[in-house]
Amino acid sequence: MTFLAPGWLLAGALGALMVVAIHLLARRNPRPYPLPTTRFISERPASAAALARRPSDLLLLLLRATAVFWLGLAFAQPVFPPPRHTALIALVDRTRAAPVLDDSTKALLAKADRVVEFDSAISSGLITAFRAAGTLRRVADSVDLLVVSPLVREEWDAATLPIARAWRGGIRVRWVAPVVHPEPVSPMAIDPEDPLAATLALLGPLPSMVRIVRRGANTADSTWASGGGALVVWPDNLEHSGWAPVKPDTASAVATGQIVVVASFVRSVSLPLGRAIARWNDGTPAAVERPLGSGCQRDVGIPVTPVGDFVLRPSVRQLSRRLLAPCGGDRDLNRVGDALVDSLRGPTMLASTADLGQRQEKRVPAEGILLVAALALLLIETVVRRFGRAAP
Amino acid sequence: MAGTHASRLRGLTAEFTEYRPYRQGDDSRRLDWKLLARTDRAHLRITDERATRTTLIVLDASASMAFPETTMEKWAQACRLAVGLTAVARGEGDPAGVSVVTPSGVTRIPPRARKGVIGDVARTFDAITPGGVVDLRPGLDGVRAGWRVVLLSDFLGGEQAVTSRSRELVIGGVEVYAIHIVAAAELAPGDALRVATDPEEPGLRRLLHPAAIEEYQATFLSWRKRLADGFRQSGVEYLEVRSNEDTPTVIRQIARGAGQRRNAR
Repeated sequence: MTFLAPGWLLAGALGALMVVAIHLLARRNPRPYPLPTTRFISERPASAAALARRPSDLLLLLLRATAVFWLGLAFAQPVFPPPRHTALIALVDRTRAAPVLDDSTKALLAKADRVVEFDSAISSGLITAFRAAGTLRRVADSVDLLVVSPLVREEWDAATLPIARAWRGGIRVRWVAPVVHPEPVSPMAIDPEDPLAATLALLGPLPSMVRIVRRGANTADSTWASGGGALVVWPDNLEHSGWAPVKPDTASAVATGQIVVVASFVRSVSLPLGRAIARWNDGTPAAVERPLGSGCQRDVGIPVTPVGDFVLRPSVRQLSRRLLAPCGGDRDLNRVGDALVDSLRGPTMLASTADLGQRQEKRVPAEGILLVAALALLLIETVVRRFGRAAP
Repeated sequence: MAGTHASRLRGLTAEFTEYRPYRQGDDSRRLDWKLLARTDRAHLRITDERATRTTLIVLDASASMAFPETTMEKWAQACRLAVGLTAVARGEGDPAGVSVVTPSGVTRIPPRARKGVIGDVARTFDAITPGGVVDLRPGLDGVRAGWRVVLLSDFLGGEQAVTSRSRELVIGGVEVYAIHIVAAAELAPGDALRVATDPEEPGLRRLLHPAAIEEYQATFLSWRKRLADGFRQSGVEYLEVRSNEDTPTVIRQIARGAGQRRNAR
């Protein structure tokens, strides 16, 4: 504990000593007491010093001296530096390295340690970890940042290294093998009479983790998708899709990424909320994706017309390939290069919490408590003094 | 004559006790003429007369009785005793009265045997607040032979004069009781450092110091012994009563003492 104004501490101590000195040296005029048998008391000077003191006198002395000293202590503004402790921040890839963070592992963490989970890019996880480190200034003086991840390319973006360099210390990296979801069951076969069948035939075999449903998804489909598959609900008749109907209008094109299909489409439904993966030419969603357990459900509101060569167009094939991709699109689970990992590690030293911003000392609460305590003592002193007077 | 007390007077009426030969100077009315006629010997017929005994309770209403300041325990005990003793006397058929001695004079309720005297006594006390310095002797004015006088006081002030006056009353055939009321706080005033002041003598200030308590208690005890001896040597029945003592017990004690005294005669 240190003091921002140590002079007040000295003043408080001197004040307490003065209280003791005054208490011991002062000559008191004892209180008058009407006693009919006064004449039987031997004669002494009535203003003699009070050499013998009652226990209440000592209690009063203690209360007064302590109150004065605590007042001085409060004005001295004591500050409590954070304890000498290294906190661990474990940055864990939730989706690709989740098994490493079971309950028994969490039980080994200290009170100050934090676990930060991320599921998309390492860069976003790092930002969250930096924020968590800022909250550790009161409980630790340094932070050990540990990244637990398979470090695959799909979670590495251009912002990863610049953000990592902003960290004022080293980053430990623990590589774990990526977790691959179990292979879903085979997709449901599509009706050969379905105009989309031609497009799918040109695409070749669908990925095993994709199931397309043309006439209403059921519970079994949802259960299958929640196991990690991509359930593509692409009704052959949008009017019976169950989605909210809208006043029919037309759109001249639909686009996803660089793929654009130009045709005369009739829009008659409003898709449920989700991440838009294809949009009409006016910007409204034409296909949305939303998570479903470990997998996803993709709702496609693009009507497939059997008229003309629509289903045979290359652009429609490309659009279909995109709409029938696994959840999250094509994944790249290849490990990033060692040079990038070394760059991520940075220096070997730990980051100091003092470098994470202005250190906030615990000064104000201590002052407040001491002031309140000192005032409480003075209040008690008043009560004890009055009670002492009332006592015979 | 009514009453339960054995009178010292030997009279002509009531219960016969014995014959005594006539001596010169005896009242000729007490001669038993029938016996003289039968035996030719002059004898007096001696009888015991049953009499009532007038009881006067003299109460000290000085400032020293208003102690402790907050509760006035001594005064309250004195009042309770006075009412109780009045009731006892009234129960025995004796006339009872009260004289409260205050600095401004003596408030008297003349001895009466009627039923309402107890209420009169209680109401008189309600109207009086003890204070100042008093001399108990005027309260004893008008006392006659054969009366019983009960002094309720702490006897702090003029005790020699009261003792002397009591002796005179005893010699004059008055039964005197001195009930000395002492407060517990007077016996043990505590060890707090204070300046004691005499309520009846404001100029008297003494330091009540823990080291002085023992000496004070010894001096006070010695004075009480001297006071008791002085009263007893004067033929006064002396009893020290604590202000917080159970009043009915004290009244029974006083009544028992009076009874023993009566039987001893």
